Amino acid sequence: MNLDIDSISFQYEGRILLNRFSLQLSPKTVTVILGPSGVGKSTLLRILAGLETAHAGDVRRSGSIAYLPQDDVLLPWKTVRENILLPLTLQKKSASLETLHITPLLDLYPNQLSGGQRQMVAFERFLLEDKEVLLLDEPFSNVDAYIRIQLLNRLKTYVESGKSALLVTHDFQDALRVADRIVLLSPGGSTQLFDEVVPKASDLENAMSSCYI
Amino acid sequence: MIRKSTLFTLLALLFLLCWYALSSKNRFILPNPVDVVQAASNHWLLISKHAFVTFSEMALSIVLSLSMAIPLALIMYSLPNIGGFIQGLFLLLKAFPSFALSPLIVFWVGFGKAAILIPATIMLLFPLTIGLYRGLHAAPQSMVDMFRCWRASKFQIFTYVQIPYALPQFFSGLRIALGLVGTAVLAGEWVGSEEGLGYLLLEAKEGLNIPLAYASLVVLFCFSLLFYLVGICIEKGILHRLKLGSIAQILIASFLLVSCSQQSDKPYTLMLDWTPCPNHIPLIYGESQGYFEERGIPLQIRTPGSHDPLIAVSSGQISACVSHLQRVFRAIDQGADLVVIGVLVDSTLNGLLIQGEKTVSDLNGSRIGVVSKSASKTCQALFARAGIIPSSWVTLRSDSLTALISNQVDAVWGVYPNIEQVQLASLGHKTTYMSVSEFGYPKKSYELVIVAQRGSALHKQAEAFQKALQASINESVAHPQEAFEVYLNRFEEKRGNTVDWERVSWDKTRPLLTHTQEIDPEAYNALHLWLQDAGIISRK
Repeated sequence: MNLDIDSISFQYEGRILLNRFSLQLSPKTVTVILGPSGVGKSTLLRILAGLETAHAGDVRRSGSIAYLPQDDVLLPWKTVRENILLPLTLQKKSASLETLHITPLLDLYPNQLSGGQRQMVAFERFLLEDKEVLLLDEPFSNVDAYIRIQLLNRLKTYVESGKSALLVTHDFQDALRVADRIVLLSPGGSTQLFDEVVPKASDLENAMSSCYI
Repeated sequence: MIRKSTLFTLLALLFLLCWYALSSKNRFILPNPVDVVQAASNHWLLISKHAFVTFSEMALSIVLSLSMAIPLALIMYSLPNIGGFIQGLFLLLKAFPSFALSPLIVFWVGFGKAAILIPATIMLLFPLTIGLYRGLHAAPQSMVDMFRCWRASKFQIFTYVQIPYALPQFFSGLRIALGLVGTAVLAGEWVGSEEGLGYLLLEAKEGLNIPLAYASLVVLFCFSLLFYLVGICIEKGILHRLKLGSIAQILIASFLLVSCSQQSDKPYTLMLDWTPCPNHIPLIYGESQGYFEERGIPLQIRTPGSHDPLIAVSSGQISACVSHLQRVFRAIDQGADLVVIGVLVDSTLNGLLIQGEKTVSDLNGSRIGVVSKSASKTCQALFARAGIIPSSWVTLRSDSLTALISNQVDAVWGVYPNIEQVQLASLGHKTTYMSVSEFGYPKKSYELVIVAQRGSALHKQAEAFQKALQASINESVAHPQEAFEVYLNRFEEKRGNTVDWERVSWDKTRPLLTHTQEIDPEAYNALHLWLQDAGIISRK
């Protein structure tokens, strides 16, 4: 087990976002979190990344954590290459980037890229960090469908090497494509877990339609 | 579509054309661009000397305010409680006209560079500090979070994220500051300086060399524009990763070139009552010939700028000043502890200049220009006794002659026959002079005396000072040509078109200078009584 979330709760301005939420992330699994916006999906990831503190409960991290937020997180005054190497530079390390899929973009600046390309770059940097637990918050919202499928497949393959991933998305199809397990977050902090086997699309659809009302 | 540069050129041409057209109306008040260029080329050495001073003051104020703004903004940022408080304080400070601070700062720090640099620095501090402080909050939270996830140190977050994100706001603050610096320095120069374009502007205006005044203004404008453009270049340079070497070099060079202000080691300073004029030639001559120094009074003469010399003496910034005995009485009446230590002119010079050839009765229903409210008080008292009823009183500050020439007033009060009347005559304006004694003011009112603080070092040496002063008067009268040359050398801006009338003026001034330093107690008391009767001073 790479990460053990033990009954955490979180409130924001008096509103309950997470209510005794528990989840374990085992190696080689992709867990997808689905749910309407404002339900606390991003907050959950921020708590796991250590950027917020849960008001109750406990998070036990046995593996190192990498976090890919939803926003654009490339420094505009650095090239793609410098941006990708940034986490390593901070630790005074370096790496070769020639094997990456985005080699033609390496010497461009972020403002020369499309929104989708920027997300691809951020994703590459995220994988390069080589951490045990991967937290992804809507990482491919601007990427077109074809590339998105490829990136999801890469994530899936990458996780096979013993990592665990927690992916927040609002895209139903993406969720079905990549998930080993799906957690459905509803307003008020209640959760439904579709475990072990990915549920049939219709089951999930029913569950979702009820929580979106 | 018209290109930007073409549009700019067209606008500039239009501006010049309008200027030219307007100047044809009254070329004296608004000289046309050709006059200004001519004045600039005639006086280019003088202008460049003063321009250099102003330029270095501008550069130094920027450097000083930057070196204060950066640490201040960092402190504000790292201590949020204090930061909010200081920001509020700065907003108040912004509403406060720092321009008005200049005359007061002179009292605290004295004349010289500090009186210019302190208000200027305060003025620039606001946009720079607030720009950087707000900039430090500009980094997106997600970026900071990203770095926290990477276990970056606080210092790394600061240098990698916060500083770069702060730059745009910081530079817009810098751009504002660079646009302000000209005004900021000018404010100081008008009050506490004997050099710089602001000073030259005032001097040229007092000397009625209006084209030179405009030329100084144009140079000042060019400097402000240059600084503003440098600001934009630095901004674009850094943000677009251009080479900054050259700009930095220019700034550093100008900073290094700032001449250390040549503070005199002479312990006694004497401030003139007004812009240097032939009345002051004996003092200037005596200073240069060492008449004061050889009597143990090393003396340095200063011009007042827009400052009140009596206040400067009272505040101890200046050892002595030239003043009018009536003003001295008024100052003493207000509580100043002053004493007359010498006499320059014992008779009454003050009077009225009226357009054309007029008589006293013509003053009825006319517009009278006065330099100040207090001056009008005396004038009103005199007119009341003489039964003259003017239509209006116009306060003119220092521009009495321009007002007369441009017909804003019919007569001006507070002028001398040996100075202003001669000056106007040289410009082809015929005027009638009426001494205040014609309206019943004492004939011997000690128009120009030297005043010091009671009990000051100079007061204790009053006897030696009087000997030196009388020697200066006698010698300058004995060698009028030589004395005039010394005066011209001391005030370079006098060379040019003011020389001619000042020479005439000097001829008219010499007979007015006192023959003795003894103050006639009768005349002294008579003036005192008259002022009491007129209600100008209290009956103490």
